[in-house]
Amino acid sequence: MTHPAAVPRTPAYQVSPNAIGLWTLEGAISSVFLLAAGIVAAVLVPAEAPTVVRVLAAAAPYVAAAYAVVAVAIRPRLRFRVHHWEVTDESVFTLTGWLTQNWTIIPIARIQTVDINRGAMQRLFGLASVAVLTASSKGTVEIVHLDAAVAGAVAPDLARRAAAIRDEAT
Amino acid sequence: MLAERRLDWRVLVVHAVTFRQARAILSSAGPIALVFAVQGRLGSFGLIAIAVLATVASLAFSALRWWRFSYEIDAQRLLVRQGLLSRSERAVPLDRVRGVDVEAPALHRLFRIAVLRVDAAAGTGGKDEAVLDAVSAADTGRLREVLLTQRAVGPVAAPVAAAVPGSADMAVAERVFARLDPRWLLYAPLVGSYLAVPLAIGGTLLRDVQSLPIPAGLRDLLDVPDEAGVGRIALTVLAALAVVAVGALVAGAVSNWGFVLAARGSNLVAERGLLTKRTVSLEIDRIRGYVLSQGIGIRLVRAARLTALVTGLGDQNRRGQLLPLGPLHVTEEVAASAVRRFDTPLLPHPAAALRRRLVRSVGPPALVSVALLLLGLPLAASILAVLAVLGVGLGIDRYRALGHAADTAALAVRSGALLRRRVVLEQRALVGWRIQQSWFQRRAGLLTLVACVGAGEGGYEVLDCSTGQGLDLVAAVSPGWANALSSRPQFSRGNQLSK
Repeated sequence: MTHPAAVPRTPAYQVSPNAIGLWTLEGAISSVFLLAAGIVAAVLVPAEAPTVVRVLAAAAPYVAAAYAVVAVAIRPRLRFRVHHWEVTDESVFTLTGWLTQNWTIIPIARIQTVDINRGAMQRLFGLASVAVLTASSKGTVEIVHLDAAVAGAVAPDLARRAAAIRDEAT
Repeated sequence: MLAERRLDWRVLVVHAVTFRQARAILSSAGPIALVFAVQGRLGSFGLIAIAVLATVASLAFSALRWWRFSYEIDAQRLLVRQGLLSRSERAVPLDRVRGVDVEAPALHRLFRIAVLRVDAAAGTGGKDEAVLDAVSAADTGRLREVLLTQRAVGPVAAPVAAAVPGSADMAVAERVFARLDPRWLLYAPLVGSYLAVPLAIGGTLLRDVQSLPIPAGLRDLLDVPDEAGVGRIALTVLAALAVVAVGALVAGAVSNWGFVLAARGSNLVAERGLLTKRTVSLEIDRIRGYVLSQGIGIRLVRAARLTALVTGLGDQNRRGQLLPLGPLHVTEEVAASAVRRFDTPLLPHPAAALRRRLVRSVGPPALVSVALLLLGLPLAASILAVLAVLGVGLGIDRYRALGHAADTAALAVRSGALLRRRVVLEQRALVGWRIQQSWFQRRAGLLTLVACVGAGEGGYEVLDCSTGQGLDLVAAVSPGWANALSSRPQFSRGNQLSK
C-alpha cells in the first residue's frame, strides 16, 4: 500500500478563536505572579549572598518578563494553530502538539461516555471542552475550548450515534 | 439460584486461630506483648491472660461478623449483605461477572473451606469484587458453576440452575492446555519477582533481629569479627547467592506448584499453589489477546511467561496468568492453542529506529564519560565508557526486538531488551489509535503508534515504525473508521455542526 501523503493528515477544524483570549488571560495571570516573584527576589536578595545567587536574583525579573512576552503574545496563537479536531461518519479525530504531535482517533462505535466540561474561565469566554471516553484509559480524547454552542451540539450527537452503533466487543 | 445463606461456620475457627479480627483492632498489641515478654516484665500469668483475651475477642468479633454476613443469588444478581451496625448490601449483576477466583490458604484447606472472589466488570459501583470468606469446598464448585453458567446462559434458563445443586462436579467438557513441569521451576531464580521473595524475607528478618532487645552476650556472638580473607568473602557471597537462588526456587514452587490451565465450559480455568491453592476462572469470550514476556534472565535460557489480556479484568498480571514460567516453545504453543494462533512474521522497523536506539543507549553514558574526563576523573570516566560500549549491544538488542504485524483479525507488537514483550491483540479489542511524532521522529520519517485497548495496560506501543508502516498497520487493522487519518476530510453531520 502506498500513501499519497506519508503522514497522518490534519483534522479539518480548529478550536474556537475565543480560546486565544482564554490562553492569553491564563498566560497573563501566571506572568503577573512570576513577575512579582522575580521582582521580590531581585529586591530582597541580601547583599552578602554569594555572587551566583545575586546574579540569578538580579536576572529573575528579566526572565519573568521574557516569559510574560511568550505567554501573552506568542504561546496562545501558537496553541490555537496546533489544536485540530474533526468528527467523521465513523470516528472522532484530533491532533495536538507542536514539537511532538499527537494524533488520536477513536471509532464512534467504541465510545462509552461523552462529557461536556465548562470551567469558570471557559464560561467567561463562552467555551466548553468535550471529553470522549472509551474502555481504555489511554483511548480518550479531549477536544478543548470549543464554542459552547458547538460543544453543546457535538457531544449529544456523538453520544446518540455511539449508543446507536455501540458494540460490546471491548 | 441460591436462597439466602451464611458463610461456612468453620471460618470462625480459622479466624480465631489467626487472630484475624483481633489483629485488625489491636494491631499493635502483639509486638508490645512480645517485647514485654522478652524483657521478662510480664509474668507467665499475664502472658496467658493476654493470649486468652486476644483469642476470645477474636472469636467474638468473627462470630458477630459471621452472624451478620449473608449472601444469596437470585435470578439476576449476587447479593451480599454485611455490617454490624451500618448494614451494607452489594449487588453484583450476574452478567457483569467476569471471573470467579477460589483461593484456599493452607489453614482453610485443613478445614476444607475456601475464599471465593467474584470479579465483576467496573460499573457496578465501588469496588469491583465481592469476597465470600469462606464457603465449604463442596459449595465453591457449585457456586462457581451457578455464577458462571447463569451469566453465560442468562437468567431465563432456570432449568440449568435448578439442575446445579445436585451436581457439584458438573460434567463439563474439559480440555487441558498446559501443566507445569516441575523442572521449569529451575527458571525461577532468573525471575525478579521470585528473587524478591527471599530478599524481602531476609531484609525483614534482619530488621526484626536488630530491633529486638538482644542480650549483650548474644550480640557479641552475632558480630563475629571478620578475619577478612578474599576466599572467605567469596565463599560468603557464593553461599548468599545459593540461599537466594534456593529461596526463589521455593517461592516459585509455593505459588505455582501443580499449575494446570484448562478450558472448562466457556471458561479458562487456572489452578495452582502448594500451600494456598488458587483457582482462577476467566471467561473465554472476554479474552482479547495475550502478552508473552521475557525478562533478560529467562530470555537467556529461552523461557517465557504468558498472560492473557481480558477486558474488564482487574489485576490482570496476577489473574490473567496463563503460564507462569515455561520454555519459549511451550509458551508459544499454549498461547496459540488457548488464545489464538498468530504466525505472520513480524516486520522489522527501519534503520532510523536503530539509530535512535543507539543514540539513547550510548549517548548519555558517553557524554557523561567525556564530561568526567574533562573534570579530571579518569576512573569514573572509564567506568562510564564501559557502560557506553555495553550500550551498543543494548541498543542493537532493543532494535532487534522491534517489530509488528497484522493478520486478518489480530495484530502483534514486540519490543524491549531487558523486558521483551510480544503482545498479540485482537482487532475487535481496539478502541482507538494514538499516534505520536516528535520533531526528531518527523525528521527521521518515524512515528510511534499506540493501540488503545480496554484490557491490560490500556495501550500497547509500536515504537518507531516508519510513517508508511504505521499508516499501513492502521489501515490493515482498522479498516473503515481509521480512514480519516489518510483520506480527504469528510463532511458529515458532526462537522456541519461546527460551521
